Amino acid sequence: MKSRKSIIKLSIFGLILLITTISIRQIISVSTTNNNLSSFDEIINVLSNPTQDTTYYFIGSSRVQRSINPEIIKKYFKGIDFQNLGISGSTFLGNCILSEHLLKKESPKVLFIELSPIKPKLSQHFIHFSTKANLNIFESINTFNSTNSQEQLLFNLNILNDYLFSRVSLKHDGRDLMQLNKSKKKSTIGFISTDENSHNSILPFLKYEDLETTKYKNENIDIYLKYMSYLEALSKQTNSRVIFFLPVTYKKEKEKNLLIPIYNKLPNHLKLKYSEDFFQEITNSSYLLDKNHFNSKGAEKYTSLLCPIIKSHLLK
Amino acid sequence: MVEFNLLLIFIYVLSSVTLVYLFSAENKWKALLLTSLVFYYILVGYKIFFLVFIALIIYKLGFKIQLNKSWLKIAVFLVLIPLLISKLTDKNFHFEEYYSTGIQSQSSFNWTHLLQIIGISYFTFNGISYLVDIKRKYIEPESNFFLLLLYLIYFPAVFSGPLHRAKYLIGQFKNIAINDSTISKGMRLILWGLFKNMIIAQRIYSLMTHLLGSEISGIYYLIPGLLFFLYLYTNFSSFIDIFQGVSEIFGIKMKNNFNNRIYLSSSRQEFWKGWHITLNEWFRDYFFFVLAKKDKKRRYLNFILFITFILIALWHDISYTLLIWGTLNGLWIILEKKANIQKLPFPSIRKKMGIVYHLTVSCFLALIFISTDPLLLIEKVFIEDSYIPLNVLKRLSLSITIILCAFIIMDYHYFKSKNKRFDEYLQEKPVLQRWFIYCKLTLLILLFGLNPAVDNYYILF
Repeated sequence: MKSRKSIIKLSIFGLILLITTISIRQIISVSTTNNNLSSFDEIINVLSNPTQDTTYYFIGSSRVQRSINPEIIKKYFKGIDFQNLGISGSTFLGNCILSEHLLKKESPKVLFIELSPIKPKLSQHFIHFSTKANLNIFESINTFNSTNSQEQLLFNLNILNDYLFSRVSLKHDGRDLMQLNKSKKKSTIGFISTDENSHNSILPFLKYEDLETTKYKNENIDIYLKYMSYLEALSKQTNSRVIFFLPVTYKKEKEKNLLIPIYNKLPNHLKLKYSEDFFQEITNSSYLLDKNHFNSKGAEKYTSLLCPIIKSHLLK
Repeated sequence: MVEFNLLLIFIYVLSSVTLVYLFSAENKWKALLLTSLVFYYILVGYKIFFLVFIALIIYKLGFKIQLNKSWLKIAVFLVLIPLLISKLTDKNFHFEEYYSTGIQSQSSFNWTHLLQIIGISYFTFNGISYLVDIKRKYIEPESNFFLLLLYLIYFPAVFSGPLHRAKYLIGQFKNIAINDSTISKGMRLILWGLFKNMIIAQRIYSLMTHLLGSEISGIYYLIPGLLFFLYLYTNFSSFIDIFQGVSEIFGIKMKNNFNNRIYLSSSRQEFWKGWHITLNEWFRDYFFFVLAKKDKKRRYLNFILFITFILIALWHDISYTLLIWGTLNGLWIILEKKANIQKLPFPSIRKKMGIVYHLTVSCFLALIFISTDPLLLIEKVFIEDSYIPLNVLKRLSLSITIILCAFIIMDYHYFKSKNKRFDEYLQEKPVLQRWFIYCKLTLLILLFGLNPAVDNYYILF
């Protein structure tokens, strides 16, 4: 065989890489074991040992991470447990996978799920989290997408690709190594806040009028509704509830235009409704860290404004 | 971003290699045709049947042209129709479309319009070149339709080129051979392409979109322009490297599309000679020369050159922004020719000053290229006060450091390789040094690679 030499070379190369990768991981894991528990580990612990009381979860992307301060809500609703499960880079698909995982557990819960584009992708942070939290990504995807088409094949290939790469990638290990000496680690899941304000315009904010308009169209609305109705049905089985909400800041105008028709299509009991006053109070550029994230001041304001809205969605 | 996931490319290579092994020597090209069709179908779905139909028309027209040359004009028009309709009916501005791809639908390739098919431009250009070459008697019409179909939809070349003449590629299809040398060369190019795409290009794009999303203005607004210029090079050239590598594995050599270190050109003329070479050659051979031949006294050559640039611009996107971009490019190159800057004294100083001059103007042209409203751009750069969002840059300092280091590594290897292709440059290195470079690039990808996919801006066109 003319290419036997290539097979040997590729095998040796693979072996060198494997040894190097394992060594790097070993060194990093030894260096990080002495550190205190990060908020990432705390969240994994909470998810692995659920209480019998009702828990309230906010699920979404980094926008959720940076906008919902659970401590403020806990103070407002004394004795109720609220968790911020925002994951950096999470898509609507990721939100649904995590929601399904939580809903399948017996205890009652309320999930506030951020509406965002589906995208045939899962972020490396999400995959990293799902591995630690024992989420079955592929089982969930098969449940959500029962059709068998060329698009579905490509969709599954994308997810498998993301998954495999995140398993071999050293990005997280490198990141852990760089944060070894930092007292305050930037977590990829859960609430994080920064005092900075680097955006001076109110253009990224959603407006009340945006919700009233009918000019926006989304051809894929049925796909979203399919995901949502599945989660709603699942929630009923465990005496739980799912509620969807729109982020109030947008980096891309197109994203907003695509999400509003979905939001408008939802019945009232399935969504958080922002009032006109809410928009007047939240629309302030000093609340922004960047174009689509709140800083600590913005998170405080947004969470405080959100408390009365979520009151009607609490389980009796 | 329009991305090809790595797994898809890996499965394509693996299945193609397996099939090529299984098929007899004279039928190996059929293995590549089969995998090209299957994987193209995975990406574009039923639309592939439309391309096969157009290929059949091109096949028939080839014989008509051989018998009667006057068929050429009709044939070219017929082949151009799908591309023209696709361009005319696409209302989205390319940059906006690229920026928000993936938001709109489940698949990056799910463009709703029937004629919006990834690769349709390169399919059309190759089809026209095949027909014109028959008319010019450079080639005979291909008697085997399936061999012609493979030339038109060859998976490694159909999405963004490089463009090849039928004679060049079909000749190689008949001599497919996989061996240790082709695998080594191919893998080197793939690794090099992945390093450029996943670390440099993807990180530059992320930095650029962060800056464009901030309130950067005034003279600092040229920074996103510079980033886009560098992004386009690293993104597009790396995609070509990867698919050149894939093709090399089968023993099929694809043409070079970029000169090494083209980003350090000292003039626009030097730049265009080494940028998207095969597309520029296509426009030169099948448009510029056709008109220039009619200008016997050579009075209108500059005007024809100008028109060629306008056409290249409008091929990207039929919009007034691109019209301005094409006009400025055309004027720039004509002015440079008139000024004859290559003959200015002190060549080494001219070269260094030329790099700064070319990069500065290119930054501005790059901004025009991606600007939906050129008036807003003028306001941003020339009217608004200069502002640089230092806290955004501070937050992204790690990514900026990675980009700079990776860029230096890339430039170092290009500097050392002179005009050689990366695989040939590595071939000359001692084994240990070569393996050190393999390990270094792979580890860097695993540590700093952003997305497990290769994106390419030019797929949009």
